[in-house]
Amino acid sequence: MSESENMNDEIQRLKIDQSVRGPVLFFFINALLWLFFGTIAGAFVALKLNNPTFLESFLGIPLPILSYGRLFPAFEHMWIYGWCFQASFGALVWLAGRLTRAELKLPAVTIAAGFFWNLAVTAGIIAIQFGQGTSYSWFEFPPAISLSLLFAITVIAFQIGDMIRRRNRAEPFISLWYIAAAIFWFPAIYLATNLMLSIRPVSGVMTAVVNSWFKQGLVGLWFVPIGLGIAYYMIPKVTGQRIHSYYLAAVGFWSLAFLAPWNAGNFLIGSPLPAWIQTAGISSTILMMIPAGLVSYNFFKTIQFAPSTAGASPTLRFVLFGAAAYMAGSAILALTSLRSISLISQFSVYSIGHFNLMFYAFFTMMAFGAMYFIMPRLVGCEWVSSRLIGWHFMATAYGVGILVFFWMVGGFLQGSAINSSSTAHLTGFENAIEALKLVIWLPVIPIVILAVGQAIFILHFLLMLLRLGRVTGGPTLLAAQHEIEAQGATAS
Amino acid sequence: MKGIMTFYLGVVGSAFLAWAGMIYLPYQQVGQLPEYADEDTGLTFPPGESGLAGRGREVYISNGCVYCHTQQVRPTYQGGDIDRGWGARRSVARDYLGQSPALVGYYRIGPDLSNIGAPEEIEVKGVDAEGKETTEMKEVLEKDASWHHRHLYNPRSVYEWSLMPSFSYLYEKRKIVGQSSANALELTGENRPEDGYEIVPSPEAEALVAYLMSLDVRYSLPEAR
Repeated sequence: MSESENMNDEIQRLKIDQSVRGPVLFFFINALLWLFFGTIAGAFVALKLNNPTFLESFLGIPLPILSYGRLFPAFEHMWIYGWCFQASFGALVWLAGRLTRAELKLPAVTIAAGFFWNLAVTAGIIAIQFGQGTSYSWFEFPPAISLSLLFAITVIAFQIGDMIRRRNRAEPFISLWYIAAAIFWFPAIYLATNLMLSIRPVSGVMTAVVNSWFKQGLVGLWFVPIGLGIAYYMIPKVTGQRIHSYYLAAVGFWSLAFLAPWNAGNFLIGSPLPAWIQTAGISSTILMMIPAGLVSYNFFKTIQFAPSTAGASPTLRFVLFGAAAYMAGSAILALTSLRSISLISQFSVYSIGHFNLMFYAFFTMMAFGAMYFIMPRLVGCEWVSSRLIGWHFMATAYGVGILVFFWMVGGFLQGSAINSSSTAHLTGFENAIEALKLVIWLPVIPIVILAVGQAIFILHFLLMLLRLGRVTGGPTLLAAQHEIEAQGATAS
Repeated sequence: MKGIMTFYLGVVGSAFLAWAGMIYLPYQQVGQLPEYADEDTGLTFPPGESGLAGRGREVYISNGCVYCHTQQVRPTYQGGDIDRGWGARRSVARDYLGQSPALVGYYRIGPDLSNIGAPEEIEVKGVDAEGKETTEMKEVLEKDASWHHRHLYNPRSVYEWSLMPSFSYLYEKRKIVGQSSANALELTGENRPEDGYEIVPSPEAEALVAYLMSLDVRYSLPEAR
């Protein structure tokens, strides 16, 4: 490549970054606001579960808006729609720019869609807290709100689709596959769910089927592909290594596409639905080990020759943690989908553990990894302190690991008590509640650790926004520079 | 990305296939079930919901009860629900006919409510006059409206170990003018309001209790036998 071509390349990249900067920053800033609220709401949920009289009323005024049955879904929706979705939009727009080498045509429209999204999420959370929820898990927003969100995400998806259509590079990028698929999959599923649950609602057990199908689509066909899209971009980029095998990556992609949506039956084990639906859910969940295993193997083989880069790069640390959580999550889910195990874990606080595994240990970590990579390229300065990044990583990694462990183990104790009915006739539900009380205080500890970690990150992010980061020198790394140079790899 | 068409065909196809398998087929099978008419009695099951209970269902939804209570009795091979006395038979698709949403629930922080409207019974083993062993069901707790109201107002006044939040915000504290109301809660101890006041259920609380008392799937269906 000649020098002038290099120049051109650089100018083009700047123009692309310029076009996506506004929307990406908008999504990241708003995502962090919801991360903040979600963290507080999550802590309140845990405290309320321990002590139902906590914040029952304030100065003698009852607070139904904070009643557990409303606060819990409000928390889930803040976390999913406020934080995770917006972090995914930010990463999506930025990755699309890099992967297609096309400019985002109408950044203002993307921001407008993002603004609309935030407005709708805020209204939706308030609606849930004021008792207007629908009782559909992860689909609690009143119909008008869900339709608004559908509109906003469709606008965003079309703009990404347009960038893909105008792409200026021919190389196949596995990240782009995941992104191109996700922007079709989820909006389509969301549209279908809106049609089947609020516009022409089905009734009876079908509502549970559609709800489960939606939940599975939300995770398996939006957050998983986008999380993996981030990883497939960041890992080769940061280590300077080529993806180990494009063939395995393709098999991983297509096995996810054809298996993930079938897992819906996994939410319905033991339910009053035909056994074949449950069996389809169980077997496809077990088969999900294939895409997860292929992806993990591919990542491992790619970083194999640059292990110290992986340790030194903040981006890679978070991304690899997320990838490990994806693998672990798939394995745990496969195990707990077995009928003999699911009869215990089902309906217990184990499910809260699984929620945190998918949306925190997997996707949130991927999003943090993406943010650590993207932010310096948007604001023109490097992260201020490797120590702050290190603390953030430690607090989040240990916090979420312990949190998931406590919820899951607690869930098994609770679930065993629910199913041991020898004394049930004499004590009613007391034995199950006593078992729950033994473990329910434990998650409060990691929740505090996580809150500290996120406070550090939000602070660090604010410093970046104020352009108070380091302007000179290389990227902020988590290890001494000479160690990296010894490896001879360029890292970020 | 060789062949964008092939790619998108796969993407659309995989989603459509899953929709067909996970939504369309189940819909054909259990989406349009008829009511079951008992030939002997002429009654149809499940029985319809009263207007008040229907409004109570809305209150149940509005307060997120599904995040702690299920309404599904799992079969014996899938947990101890029946042993626990939550129902004599497993729940089947027909039990939820016409409900939108069907409130099957997500967590069991509290007990299953499929049959909360039925009296709580225990098995009593005994010996009859001829020396044969007998088992009969003996009612231990009749959950009448007054019990539900007291429980909703302060769950810990009924079960001290309960983790259920209080729904006192569905109740009103009123000054007694003349005679006390017929529907005032019979409260004792610290829950008792000061003299001259009474706690009465709001229309929402009345509806919710009517709904809870309507939850009773003890009728039998051929597919659940």
